Amino acid sequence: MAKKVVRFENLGRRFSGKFVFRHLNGVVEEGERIFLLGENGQGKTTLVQIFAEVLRPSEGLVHIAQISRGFISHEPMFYPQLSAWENLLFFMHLAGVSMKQERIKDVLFYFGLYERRHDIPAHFSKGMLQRLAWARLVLCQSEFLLLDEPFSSLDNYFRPKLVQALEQGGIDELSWRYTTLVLVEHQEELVARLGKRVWILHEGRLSEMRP
Amino acid sequence: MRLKIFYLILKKDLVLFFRSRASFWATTLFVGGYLALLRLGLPPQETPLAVGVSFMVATQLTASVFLLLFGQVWEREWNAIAYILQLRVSPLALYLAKLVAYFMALMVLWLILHLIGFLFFKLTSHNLIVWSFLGTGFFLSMNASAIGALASGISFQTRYRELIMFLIYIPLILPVGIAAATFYRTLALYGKIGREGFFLTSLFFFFFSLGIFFYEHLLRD
Repeated sequence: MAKKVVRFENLGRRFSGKFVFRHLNGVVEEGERIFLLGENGQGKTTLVQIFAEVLRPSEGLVHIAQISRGFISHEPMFYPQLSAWENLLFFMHLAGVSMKQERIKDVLFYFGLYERRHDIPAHFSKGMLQRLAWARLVLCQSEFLLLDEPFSSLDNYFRPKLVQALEQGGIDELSWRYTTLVLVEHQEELVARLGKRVWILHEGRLSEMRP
Repeated sequence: MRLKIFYLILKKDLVLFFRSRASFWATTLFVGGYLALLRLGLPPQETPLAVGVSFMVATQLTASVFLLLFGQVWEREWNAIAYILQLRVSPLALYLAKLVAYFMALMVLWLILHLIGFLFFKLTSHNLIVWSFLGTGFFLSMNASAIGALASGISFQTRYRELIMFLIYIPLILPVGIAAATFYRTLALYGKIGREGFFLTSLFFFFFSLGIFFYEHLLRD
């Protein structure tokens, strides 16, 4: 029986007294890829933030397994005054990962950031920040990925490359594999490639459909 | 592991304090300039002890408010703290690192401000630097750090967090400022440790305990 990475019961979250969603139930098992769909404002980001334990549910229960987790959201979640290199090292060490400098350099090369590693992220474009966030996922050896529109700012070179990486379960040349994925994306053409299960969040209710 | 996390966060916070021109150095320049300007309003003879002490305490308190604000701004700016939380970092390590980082930054600031203070105010006692260390440097910075880390945690998830933080911080820090100034003066004039020393130590432990128990609850929305 597969390990339950996330299990939630009667989950609800409200902002300013109004519920975004209520009475949600579901399970994410290890090895699953969940594609979360829904129109703007339906609570997809909120649900992912609850899975990341950044937000608390207003009601209900959520259990999250103690496995290494990686998160890409709309916000960069870096320190703009520390260099890209310092940021990556800081988060990597916080995650309890130690790695040889050569391997860190390989990751930065892969994401096209090696030349800019000593620059501060405040000087990066949105696309570069998103690549830096991907580099952090790899360096922190994240197994359970919570990705909220992780391709939105990427160019035509990196977008297909990283879609393929997710499809293949990781990036072999960087010795990184993930096990479980919850992906929020508006581009439904990716569903067939990346989603094994599809959840739709609509008017506060969660339903599931076959991809 | 917790010790390593504490060290990592402390190092990061100190780097940010001293690297950000907009935080530490702007604060030093502002309060240092304010201290120098105040001198112009005083008569040319030696500054009475009480006046010098009040100015030093007030300046240090003003500086603590600025540092607190900047310390919170860089956590919220790009929401880096969200990633720290999702890595399941111990909130205790996070709180302690914040507290120690504020304390160290305030102590460095205290040193710079006192050098400016001694330059501009003709103070009466050559021992003042020792009393000043105990009164403003240690007790005041210690309490400002504990109250500051707690106030920034309480205001963290609110919409008007900068305003809320000050509304919480200022009424709590004012009695500390008064007690620190009295402590400083009593020690300088009579060489005695007054009741204020006990009050300041108890207050620190009270806010420190509140921070330890509630910090985790405060950070997650």
